[in-house]
Amino acid sequence: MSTKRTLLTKKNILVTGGSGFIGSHLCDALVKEHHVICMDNFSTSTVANIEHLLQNPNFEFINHDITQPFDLESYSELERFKIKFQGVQEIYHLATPISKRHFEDFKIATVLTNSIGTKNVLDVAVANQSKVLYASSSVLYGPRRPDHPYVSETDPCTLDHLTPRGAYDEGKRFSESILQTYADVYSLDVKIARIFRTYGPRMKIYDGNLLPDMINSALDEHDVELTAPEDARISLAYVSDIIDGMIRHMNTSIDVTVVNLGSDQEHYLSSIAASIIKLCDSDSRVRFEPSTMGWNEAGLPDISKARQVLGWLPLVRLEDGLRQMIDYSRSKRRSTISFGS
Amino acid sequence: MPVKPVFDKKNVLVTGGAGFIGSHLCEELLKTSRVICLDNFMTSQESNIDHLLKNPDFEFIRHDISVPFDPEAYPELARFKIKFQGIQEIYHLACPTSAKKFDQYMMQTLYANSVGMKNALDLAVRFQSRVLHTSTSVVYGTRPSDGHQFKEEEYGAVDVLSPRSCYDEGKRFAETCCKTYELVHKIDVRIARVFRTYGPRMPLFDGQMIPDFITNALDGKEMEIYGDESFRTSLIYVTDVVDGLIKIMNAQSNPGPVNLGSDIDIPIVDVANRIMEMTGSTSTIMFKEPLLFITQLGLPNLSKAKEKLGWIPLVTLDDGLKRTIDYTIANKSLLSFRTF
Repeated sequence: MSTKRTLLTKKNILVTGGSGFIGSHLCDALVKEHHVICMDNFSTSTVANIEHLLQNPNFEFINHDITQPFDLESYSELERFKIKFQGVQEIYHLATPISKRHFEDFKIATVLTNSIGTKNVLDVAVANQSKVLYASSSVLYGPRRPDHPYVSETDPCTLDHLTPRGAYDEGKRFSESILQTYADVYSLDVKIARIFRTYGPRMKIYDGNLLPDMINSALDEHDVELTAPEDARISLAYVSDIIDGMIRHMNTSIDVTVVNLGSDQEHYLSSIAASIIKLCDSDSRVRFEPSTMGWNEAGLPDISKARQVLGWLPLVRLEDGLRQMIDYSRSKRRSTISFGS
Repeated sequence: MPVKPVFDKKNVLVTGGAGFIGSHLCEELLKTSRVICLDNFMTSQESNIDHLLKNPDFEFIRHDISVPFDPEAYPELARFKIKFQGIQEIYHLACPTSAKKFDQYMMQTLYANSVGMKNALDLAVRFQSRVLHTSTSVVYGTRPSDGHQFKEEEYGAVDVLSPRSCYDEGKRFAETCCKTYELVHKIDVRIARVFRTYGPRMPLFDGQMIPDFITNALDGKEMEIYGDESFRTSLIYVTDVVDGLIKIMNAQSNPGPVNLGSDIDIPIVDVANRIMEMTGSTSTIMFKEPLLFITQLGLPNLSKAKEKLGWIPLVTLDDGLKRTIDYTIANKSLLSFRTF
């Protein structure tokens, strides 16, 4: 499918959820070459993530909840992007409430964002004949199966849709189905990136997330408590690698729909904790607590498709990524503390 | 939340009430309740509820559930005194279903299963109504190769990206909406998973096979099977399903999702042959390309329905077929007229 309008200068790109953890890094990368329209309603993200972009003439922020329909041509602040003539070439759809700690508060918002929200974004894509990349999640594959730890794009997605987490897990599934339906009905060029566990700066530091919590404990010289078995292992992809994969995915041909993005390298939680403690110059110790919920790690991504089709693989070494994240946590904690005092 | 006084009969809302199952449900509910029947005739027929329109306890509102519905805005509902009486129960059945015209309704199917479901649940929050959502056996995925019967706890394996995912996955998502509203708004939302159902008022010439078998058998035309001789399915008669739906709604406590269907597996060829015998027809059977939307489906495990609701299918296949044939004969001129 060709874009409806002639391209005058730079591409116009919409990023929903653009002030979130991954979204803001994506805006950082895209704004170097393109016009970026960042849409967010700060339900679980913060303006601090995009503050440094607000002065950039190639960047514009729109405060909007995507569960309400929207028309980009109606925003006067977007006039300089000439959407009427230029159109919107690409849409990265990342918006969904995400909060470990406050998940309960966002359940309804989560089902609505992942149904009506996705619909509204795709309606804008149809109107502008934009390519769409949807940030999906490894949760679709369900929990890890011991006999089959690596999951590939063609594996069945089996999950319980009636758990309290269903709003998110099933919502993500349904969003993928909405994309497929729009592709079938409107011949829309849709891409689905199933993103596995990602870490990096701008992850919320007080939201019950594993790595930020470990870093906080290390910086506070508290025990690093891990509610997991001692031999628990996880895979971690650094956020800039994921951004690189998403942009490559967006630029592939029409027939590449689903791609796993994540790291297929596993690390022992204990060794991650040890690295963090070392990098923080901390004397904290690691303590394992048995979990009442059981240790439920997602499957590992089979990334051969991303390798072959996108020429992509994760590059950032864990230690380098952790260092970036610790620096971020340090500065963030300083500013929080100074604001608080 | 104060419970609204119930003066005489319950007010019951049925979305998709002019559909195949919906219209039978309205009929049954009218014995004890007032029924507001909502439908937009997208894949249903006005004739299904024609005989109910004169009933003072019945009111039909033509409305698309993907648009928010305010029952208090309709003067024709004034006699139901919704302001004081509220709405005690909502049966949510609305969803386009058409095997042959599935393609035409893909977007509407998405809407029904998301926005439509939300609108129904918002009504329930507003009126503190009990909800019964009619889900489907397709949430379990395709017929399992090991032949096991689906239990309600099963996660299901649905292809998220298949061309029919707007329906299959949409129905799963609708269940998730029910669960989420129940958790957040503390409303009582029940789920019935209905397996392949047959009976009078099934749409004709829409790939559903049984009504077409009957019509073609009566006309001495070829009976078409979408698939080959190995096509097997289970079939539940519509009044059994209606009985099950009402039992789920009326159960003391929310039983969680409940399968409603027949666990007897039969080759569809046998059904076609039986119809030929019963109609004394000399038609022949023809095997055609399978349809995307007509698959064999798995079988339900019925122990939960039996134990928690005391529900079992009562109408035998022969009885059900006979009633469906009688209905077809009685309405034949009307039915064949309608298809042109």
